[in-house]
Parts: sequence; C-alpha cells; structure tokens
Amino acid sequence: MRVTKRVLSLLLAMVMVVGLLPTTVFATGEDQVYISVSYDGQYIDDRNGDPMAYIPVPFDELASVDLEAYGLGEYLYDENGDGTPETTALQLVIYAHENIYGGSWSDVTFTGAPGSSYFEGGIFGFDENLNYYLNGQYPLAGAGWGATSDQIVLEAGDFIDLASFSSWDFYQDSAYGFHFFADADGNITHAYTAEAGTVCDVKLILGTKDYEYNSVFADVADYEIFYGTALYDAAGTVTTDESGCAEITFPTAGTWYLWVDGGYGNEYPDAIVSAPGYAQVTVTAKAEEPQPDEPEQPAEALDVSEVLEATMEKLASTVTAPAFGTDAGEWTVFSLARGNYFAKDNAYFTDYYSRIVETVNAEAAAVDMNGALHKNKSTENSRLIVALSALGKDATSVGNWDLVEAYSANGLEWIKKQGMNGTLWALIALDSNDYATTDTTIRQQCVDAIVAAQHDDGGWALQANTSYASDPDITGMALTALYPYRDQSAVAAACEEAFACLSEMQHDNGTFASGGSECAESCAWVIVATTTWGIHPDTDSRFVKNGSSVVDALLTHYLEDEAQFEHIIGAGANNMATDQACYALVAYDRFVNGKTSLYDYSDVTFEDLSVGGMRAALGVPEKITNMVGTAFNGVITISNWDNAAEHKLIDFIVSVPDCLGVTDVKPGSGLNGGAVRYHLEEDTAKLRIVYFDAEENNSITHNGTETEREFFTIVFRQEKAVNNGQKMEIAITGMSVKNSSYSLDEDSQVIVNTDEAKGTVEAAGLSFCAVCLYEGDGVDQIPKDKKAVAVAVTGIEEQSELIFRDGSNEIAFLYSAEITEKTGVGSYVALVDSAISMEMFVDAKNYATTKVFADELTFGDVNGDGVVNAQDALAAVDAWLRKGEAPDDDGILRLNVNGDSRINTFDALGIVEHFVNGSEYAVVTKAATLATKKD
Amino acid sequence: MKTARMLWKKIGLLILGGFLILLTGVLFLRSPLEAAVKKPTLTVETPQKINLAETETLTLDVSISDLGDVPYPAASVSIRFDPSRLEFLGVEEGNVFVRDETVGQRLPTWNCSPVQCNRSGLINVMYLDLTGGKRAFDKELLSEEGNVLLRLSFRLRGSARAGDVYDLTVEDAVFAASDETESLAVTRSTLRVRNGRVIVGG
Repeated sequence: MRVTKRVLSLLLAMVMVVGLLPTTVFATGEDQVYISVSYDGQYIDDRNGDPMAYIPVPFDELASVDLEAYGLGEYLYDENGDGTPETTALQLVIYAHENIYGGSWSDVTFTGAPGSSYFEGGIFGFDENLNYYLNGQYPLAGAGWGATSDQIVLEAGDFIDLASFSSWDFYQDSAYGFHFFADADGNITHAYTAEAGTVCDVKLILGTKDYEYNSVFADVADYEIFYGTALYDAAGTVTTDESGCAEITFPTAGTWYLWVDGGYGNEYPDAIVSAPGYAQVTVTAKAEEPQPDEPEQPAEALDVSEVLEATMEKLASTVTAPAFGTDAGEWTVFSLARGNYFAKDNAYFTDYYSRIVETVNAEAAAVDMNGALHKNKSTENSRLIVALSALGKDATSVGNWDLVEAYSANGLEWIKKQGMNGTLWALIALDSNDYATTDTTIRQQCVDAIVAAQHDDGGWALQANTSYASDPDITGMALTALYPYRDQSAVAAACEEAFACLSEMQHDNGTFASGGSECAESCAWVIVATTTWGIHPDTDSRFVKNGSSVVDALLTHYLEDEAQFEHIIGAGANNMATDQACYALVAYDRFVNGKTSLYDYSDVTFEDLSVGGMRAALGVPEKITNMVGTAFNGVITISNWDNAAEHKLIDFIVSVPDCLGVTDVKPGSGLNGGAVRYHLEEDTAKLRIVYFDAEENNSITHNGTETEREFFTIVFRQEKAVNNGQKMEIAITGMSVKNSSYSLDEDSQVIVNTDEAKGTVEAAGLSFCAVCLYEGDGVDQIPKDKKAVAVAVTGIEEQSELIFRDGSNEIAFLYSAEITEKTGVGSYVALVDSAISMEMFVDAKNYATTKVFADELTFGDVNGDGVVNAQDALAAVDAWLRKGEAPDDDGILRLNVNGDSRINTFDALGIVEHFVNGSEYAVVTKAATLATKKD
Repeated sequence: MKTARMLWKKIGLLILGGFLILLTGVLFLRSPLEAAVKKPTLTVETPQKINLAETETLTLDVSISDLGDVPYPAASVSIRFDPSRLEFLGVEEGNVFVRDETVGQRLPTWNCSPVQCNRSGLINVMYLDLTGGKRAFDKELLSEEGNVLLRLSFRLRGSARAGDVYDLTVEDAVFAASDETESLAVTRSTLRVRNGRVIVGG
C-alpha cells in the first residue's frame, strides 16, 4: 500500500522541463524567481504569518544553497555538461523551506534518485501528497514523464507553484489544476495595473494537463475572485463569467491583491483538488484624488508647534485634575496624550485613571447596562474609550467593567439615541484599539447607518434628516469615523462626496461655520478629517480660499496672551473651543511630522493585561450530525496558567448560535477551588460562565502540568433544524481572571487573550476524523511498525461496532468512552499497521458499522477488570522491566497512557496520577485534537 | 410389646441418623468458614461515637490482617465517603513496612490528593514500587497484631448533625503481585474488606 502511494506520489510530483518553452508572460524582476506554496487551496503562512504567494527570491541567492552541504551532492545537475551544475527547483524549495517558511531541512525526508526524487515528508510541513508546476505548466522530463525538482533548471523570472492536498485523489479529478490570473491574451500574469474608480478587467484560468501530460489551460467560469488591500483580507468579491473574466473597480489608489482559493473536485466533491491563484494590482490615483496613505508634504507647511505647545501647557496648568466629563476631562487628557505632552506613566495620567476607575465602577453599576455609563448617552463610553486608549489603557477592563461590551449588549438602538454623534463616536472608539466586539456586526451596523444618513449634498448633520443643514463638524467626524472602512465602495464614494461638500462649505476667509456661526470647532474638525485622510489642510486647494487655509482660519480664533481659543471671534476664551482646537493642532502637527493620524493609535503601546500571556482556546468538532438533539462538546483550554497567582474567579462570555442550546458546563478534570455557574441568555444568545468558590473564596488551581490546560467543557445541543452544511460559529470573549474585589488595584484583574478562542461547527452527515496518537519506536514494547489511531465518527450510534476494511486490512476498532466524552463524538481506537495512511482512516468507504456493541477499551485498565488500580500501575512497571510476555495490541493501547512511543515507568506514573489526582491521561488529551481536526 | 420396642428402636435410629447428618453438615461447613476467616482482610476502623462539638482531627486506621507469601510491589485502596459532611485531610503513616535493601525496611510513601478526594468523595491512595520488587510489601514484615497500613484523617464539617452515620465504604483494594493470580484483590475475591463508619453523637 505504502509503495503504491509512493509511486503515485512520484508520478504526481514529477516536475521537470527540459526544453520547455514557456508561453507565459512573466512578472517584472528578471533577476528573481518566485515561489508559491499552498495547502488545500490556500497559501500557507510563512515564518512571519504572511501568505506564501508568489514570493520573490533573488536568483543569485539560490547559488548559495550548496546541495553537497545538505548531503544531496548526487542531485547536482549539469544539464549542458559544461562542468557547472545548473540552478534547480530543488535549491529554490530548500531555500524557501528554510528562509521563507522558517523550517529546518532536518525535518524533511528527501528520497528517490536523481531525476526521480521526491519529498517523502516534512517539506513545508507536508507529506508526500504534493504537486508542483513550473511557470504554470506541468513540467516534463520527456513525453509522458514528469521532471523532479532536482532536474528542473531555473532561470530568472521563473515561478514555481507548489501545492499540497489532503486528498490523495486530487490529481484524478477533472477539476484538478493550478489557478492563475491572465492578461487579455490569456497569458499568465501576476501583475495588473488599474486606475482608482475605473473598471479593471481580470481573467482567471486553470493550468492543468491532458492525458498525455501536455499542459493545457482552461477559462474558469463562475468562480469567486477576492480582492483587497491585503491578501486574505477581502474588501469584496466578483464572480467570473463564462470566459473566466470579471470586472473590478478599485475604490482607492494603492496596492491591491486578487486571489482565488482552490476548488472542490467534480468526481471528488468533498476534496480540494486545485491550487489557489494570486495577482497584484497597482492602482493609480485619479487626477486630484487624495492619496490616503501617503500624506502630501507641502513645500512650506505652516508651523503650529509654538501655538500647540503653549495651548497644551495652558491646559495642563489649568486642568490639573482631569476627571470624567466633557469639560476638564477626557478631551484634555486626549490632547495631552496624543500631543505627547506628558509621558504615559506621568502622575497626571495615572491619577486621572484612578479617578476614572472609581467613576466607572459607580456609574456602570448604577446604570446597570453591561458597562454603559449612561442610559441614553453612548458617547459617555465613547469619549472615555478614546481617551483611555490614547493612554494605552484597555477599555475592556476598567475597574470592574468592560466599556466596549456596552455597544454589543445594548445594540445600535442605544448607540443611536444621540443621533449621528452616538454612531460616529461609537465607531471611532471601537477602532481606537481595534476592540473585539461580541456582536461582530455592530461596526458594520454603524458604518451602514452613517452612510445611509448622508445628505444629498454629501455632508452630514446631527440628525439623518434633510431638515438639518449639513454641518462641517459632523461631516468631519463622519469622515474620520469612516476612514478605516474606506475600502468599502459605498464608503469610498460617500467620502469623496463629503470632501467635495466640505470644500463647498468653506467660507472665503478659509473658515467654517456651524449653525451660522464661524467657529473654531468647525475648523478643528475639518483639520482632523483631512489629516486623517492624508489631505494637507494648509495646502490642498480644496481647503484654501483666497490664500487662507482652514489652519489659518483656526488660528484666527487663538488668543495668544491666554494661550486659549475662542468659539467665535470676540467672544473670549472657551474651554470646548480650546480642547478641540488643541487636538486639531495635534492632528496637524502629527501630520506634518509624518506621525500616525490623531485617531490612529498604532503608535500607542497598550498595556498587556494578560498574565504571562494567558490565552484561551476553544476546541469544537469540525462537523456534527445535522439533527435536532445532537450533542457535542466545546473544550476550553487556557495556556500559561499560574497557580501561584492565587486567582479567585474566572468569568467570560460565549457567543452561541441561536440553533444551539447548552445543557451543561463542566469544570476540567484538573480544575480545583470553585464551582461553575452559568446562564444562557435567550435574547442575546450569550452564555455567561463564572467559576469561583462562593463559600470559602478559595484560590483557583489547576493540577495539570501541560502549558495548555483544560478548564471547562461546554455541552452544546442542537435545538433547531438547520440546512446541511450550515456553519455555526462559537466564540469566547471577555475572559478575565480576578484576584480580589478591590477594583482600584490594577492587579485585581487580568485579561485572558481570547483572540483564538473561537470555533466553527458544520452541521453535516456521517463523517470521520482521525488522529495518530503515537507510533512505536521499537525500543520499549511497541513495535516500530505499529501506530495507535483514534477515530471520531460523527453520527454513529452510541458504541456501535466499527470495522475498518481497506481491502488489505480488517481492524475492529475499540470504543473509547473517555475520548468520546472528551470530543462529544463517538470515538474509537486501534493499534494498526504504520504503513496505513492516515488518509485512509477519514474515508467513510473504508468502514463498516453494525448494531453490535463494540468492545470497549479503558486506558490504564491493563487487566481489563473494569477497575484502574495498583495492579494496572504495576503492570506498566513490569512491562518496562520485561517481566512476563510482551503486551498484545490491546495491552499496548491500555498500557501506553502517556501516548509516547514506548511503554515504561512514565505510563506507570501516569496511571498513579490518574488514580490519585484524577489527572487526564496524556493519550486522551492527545485524542482531544479530534474535536478540532478537519476530516 | 414387641411392636413398641420396634417403634422405639426406629425412633432411636432416626435420632441417630439426624445427629449424624447434622454432624456431617457442621463438618462440611466448618472448613470453608475457617478459610474465610483466614483470608487477608482490609479493615477500615469504626471509632467510638464522635462528639458533634469535637473539632479536633478524627483519625481512622486502615488495617491489613495478613498477606500472602509473595511480595507485593504495589497497593491501592479506594474508599467512598461523604465529602459534604466529612472533610478528608489526608493520609498519615501506619506501621506496616515495605522492604528496603539498604535499611531493611521503611514506611511506604502513599500517593494521595486530599483536594481530589474531597472533590470526588472517593479516597484513592496508592503505593507503587518502581524498583522491580525491591521495595515491596512482604508478609514477613507484618507484626503479630495491629498492622495499620495507613491512617485517614478527617474533620467534621459544619453540616454534620448529631445522630448522623457516615459510611466509609471500601470500593476497591488490591495488594498487587507481579503475577496477578497471586494478587490480593477485591475484584478477585482474594481480599476481604470491612467497611468503617463514623457515628456522630450529641
């Protein structure tokens, strides 16, 4: 079986073109070669987490890959016989594996012979089931015979696409191939050019081979193309027509990316059988279009630094103890923080934060609306979040409260109670630190609401009502709030109109008026908006009237002697005007000095509230049987837990799809010191969980020793019928660990990172997941040719007999109640021949099930008497001591509780630990990955 | 007259026969009874009635009456209790030794987690010799009387009430020999157990 696969793999992996004449159009960079690496239709991440799509490699650097140094001297290939080996694809793959992917060559098994070599395993983390194309074509060494990497001679400009697949049948499918973008003539291209706002024509083709191994290309119809300013961060999609063509209009100038995922097969509809495609688009600006990310540098920018410095000094000296509020509060703190007047750890800010914590605890408790600081004014939260984030404080943990949760919990209705102000500031606040929200739609709701409220003239007013005239302040705020969403075509169009509207609003003296009065605040917000978008407010012709810019206009409100600003000229100093003018000058000063914009806090270092990088993860099965009543488990683990920290309480929220219910929440086997309480709110579908000791206030400990420890298991139950294939997303948010109730103590609460604590469950039919628990190494009782396999079977009747038959082997799997409980899905184990590919164990056609009860296996119960005790632990010791006969397959499974390659005293101690502490066997923990493994 | 004599003779024979049957039955029964009494027995002590006001630690002996002729490199005991009424504090050493090749004998180190026991309501204690039998329990190390394997420490919880009786039930116990057929085990009926109980007085 193994040999057959290798032959197949060899045939598949054959790549080499001697005398191949590429008909493709190469990208620029003729001193480079390019490599793309994908798995199941998506580019894999390189060592930095970036997709490995068309990565350039200096051609000269490949010469530094000395094959002899890798012990591959026999693969040196001198094609033309001049005594100098050629540069081959093997060197490119080695280079990419080590320098781009970040792997080690020692992990790779490269075997075969010159001209018929192949990667048996380890390359980019793959097994041997891979295929590679040169310049979009199946490379041939001769008619009907592929070339292997060691004899593919590279030239500058060549590109290699290497694709790995989980299905061993991918190459047999009629949809097999590699996706490429093409120019108007049908030649492969990785680079397009376009103009912002103008239609760009793109074309998608599939490179494959015919039965005689000749390369062929086909137009790809009805296929989804993604585009965005970053690969795999889609701003939109288009679908190809019958000719594989599509039209895309890029809203802004800059570098854009196109990509397609690999597709499912025709004959193998459950398998990905084609490689992804990629291209880059250089989008140039329309005439006079602002360049969002590349601020114009004026020849003579107005210097406002003296005025700014004096204003900040005045604010700092007059607002000596800022507190929660509009006046002498957040705006002053915000200006001084973004203006870098004080260091973040200055007492001015730390004392302010202490006052804020007290206020938040009191106000949020009084309002009692999930962290809202006012029943009707969402801007109370927004203003505070903007200020705290400027200080690097995490608004999800202020005192006892999560200020961000208020938006999700109370929804758009609460946000909109203050009209446009509420919506605009909610968006600005949420984006100030890219805060995650339990309601993942809340941002887009705000964006849509803002766009929908735009007036016909392109501006906005306090109310989305045409009876209100467009207002420069609100228009400036809207432009600022929408900037992060500029990739959305509706937003881009709206903002283009808004800038035109603002320019129209500007008076001949360069100033702006709100409510009929020329005022400093209106000028201030135009400056904030323009600088956010990279438009120079002092030189851009749209905002300069009769030689007077909006910056000039703002400065006419400045009272030099008082170092303050007037709302209306002649009206005297005004605190609000001074606050807003100050942060507008900060925005301008940051702009002309090349710093991030006023509300772009990427330059702020945020406090890390997590202790030792505590991170939560959620494991759920990839698929469940689509049937009301189906139950499955979600296993929550926390890494880097520290018992010595004496935590008293853990609480968090789980977003549960409305088609699911929760029947139980159980503590992990190693968790001690408290009890679980939980409640699923029907209205919000939020499951709130808290773990603590209500009676004795014990510290929470976990007796696990592994880095990632199991803390909770949530038992979900499907409550509503859904369509087959529907995906149900479950996410954990707001997990915190508290040490005391004294919220003023900054150490009283720590945040657990939940960025990765999410999972998706698909409602599906019978399916198999498999994981290799261990392979014997032949040293201690487990033969080298044996491996233990655990299989989780979605949809199988409880403990039904499960027999594996692949034509060569017939294996009766043993039911494991322990793994079943862990995964929530019927799970089985068996010791099998190592040569059987793991792929075989996820293929439903290799199994038979019966109504007969399967034999059960209990890990650690070596003698099978139904009790795990000292007799079993002693058996593990004696097995290692070689007392008595070697264990049979069943005995190996029962004995090797720590799931390594040997039976030894570690297993004996594992049984003791399990017996005494209730510790979970490592082999069971290992099997729990079935819960998240793709089939 | 002859008839009456015959009658008395028959009655006498019947009485004699009945006596012989009874005697035979007693003899048949006696042997297994004695064997049962001699079977090694693990006993959880039932102490004197505990005063509810007693706040001191309560210690119960777990004793073994006898062992077989082979070494036992491992032993474990599982005792069910009510953690809502009794707080299990831990295991204290008894007076039954294991062999030690350097000093002759030593007290065994029992593995036990009071936290886990109170959580599960099951006291699990285990001894495991990883030396291949050099530190095993051995019959020769037992004394003539009072072989206390280990002692269990408890404290009454506030929920305890006068008149309560708390059972301490041995769910499983084994003195494990390398040849399992030589092991003394509850599951093999080669080890008897006597459960204990705590009785709370006024």
